[in-house]
Amino acid sequence: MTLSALLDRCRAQDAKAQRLLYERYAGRLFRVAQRYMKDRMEAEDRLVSTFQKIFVHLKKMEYKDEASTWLWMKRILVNECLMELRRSANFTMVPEQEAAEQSFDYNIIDEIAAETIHTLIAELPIGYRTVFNLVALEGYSHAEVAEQLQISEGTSKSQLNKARQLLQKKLQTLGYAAHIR
Amino acid sequence: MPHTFDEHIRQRLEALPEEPFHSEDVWNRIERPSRPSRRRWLVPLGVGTAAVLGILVGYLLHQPTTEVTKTTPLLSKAPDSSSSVRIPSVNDSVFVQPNVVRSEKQVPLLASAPVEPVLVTDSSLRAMPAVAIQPTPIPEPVPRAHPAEAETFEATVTLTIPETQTVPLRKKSILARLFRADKRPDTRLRWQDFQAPTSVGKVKTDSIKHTH
Repeated sequence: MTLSALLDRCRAQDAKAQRLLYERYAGRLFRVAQRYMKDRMEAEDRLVSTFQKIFVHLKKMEYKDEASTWLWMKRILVNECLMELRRSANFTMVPEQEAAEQSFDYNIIDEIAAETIHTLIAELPIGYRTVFNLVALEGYSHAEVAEQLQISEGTSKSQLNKARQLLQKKLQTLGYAAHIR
Repeated sequence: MPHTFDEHIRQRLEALPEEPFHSEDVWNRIERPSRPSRRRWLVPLGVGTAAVLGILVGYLLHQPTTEVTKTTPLLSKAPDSSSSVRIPSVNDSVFVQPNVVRSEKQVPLLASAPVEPVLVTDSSLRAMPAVAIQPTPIPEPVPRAHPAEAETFEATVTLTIPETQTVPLRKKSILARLFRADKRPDTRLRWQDFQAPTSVGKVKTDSIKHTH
């Protein structure tokens, strides 16, 4: 069944079609949720609220292609995660001076398992992690992040640079260990 | 323009396989929004279980290691270190065995018998150290004024009950015992620190009257 047909049946409140849509995207969406929420049960909670919203707002969504549908669903999930983070975490980040770029060997990234990189991102401090996820991985602009998190653009930029620095430092340590082995 | 580092990371993460999760549970909650999250019952269940276990372990640990029974000599038992023993006042601690009416011949035997002082504490019978009370001297018969008068004895009993009425003993809470969190030095007196004071005075007991 094509995605377009599946979405049509979902709009008609077909429970089987909704289940199929869920099975098609839940795993990938859960991965994204875990990057933001860290805790598995919190990520599952966000997945629940995301699919409830997807099924409600599906009628208003105009189907273009599979990629845009995925981005639409991912956007709902990210918003759900941000709402929860805003509710539970303190995002009043103090603007820091933009960190200077440091030299980094990008080959290290290829040597480290993707699962490890995912874990390293999840272990970043909440402010770094959220801004890095939004800007570096989801493609949000600093202006959008500033609006979503109610921080200044400067803060968003500095948080991103700090996140990159910390992540590069951790990757270098791991990459160095991999070289020795 | 995306940063090179970000681009590398994004490419690596895109290759990640889907991570397993409680898919069925999540779907059930999507279908029935009223269904509570696992967290809602997992957390209280965990806290409740831990609390019950804590109380149970604490109760077991708090049990006294010695039991005083009718057949066990009280003087051989030291008070439990975790219990607070109240040493009663002089009047309360005078041990008078009811209906002790003995003939003159029995008196020396009584005097040589070991004295087993019994102190009444908060909840149960407790024994004092043997040095706390000296043996009772032999009661002396009081001369009768009239042959028909009842036989009377008098004795002077030296009591060595300390002035302090209440000696707070080290009492650890159940939680402190469980987690060994009681790090503060306890400066209160313990039984090991307790030393029998010297005689604080003489008390003349009431004579035991013997009636025929």
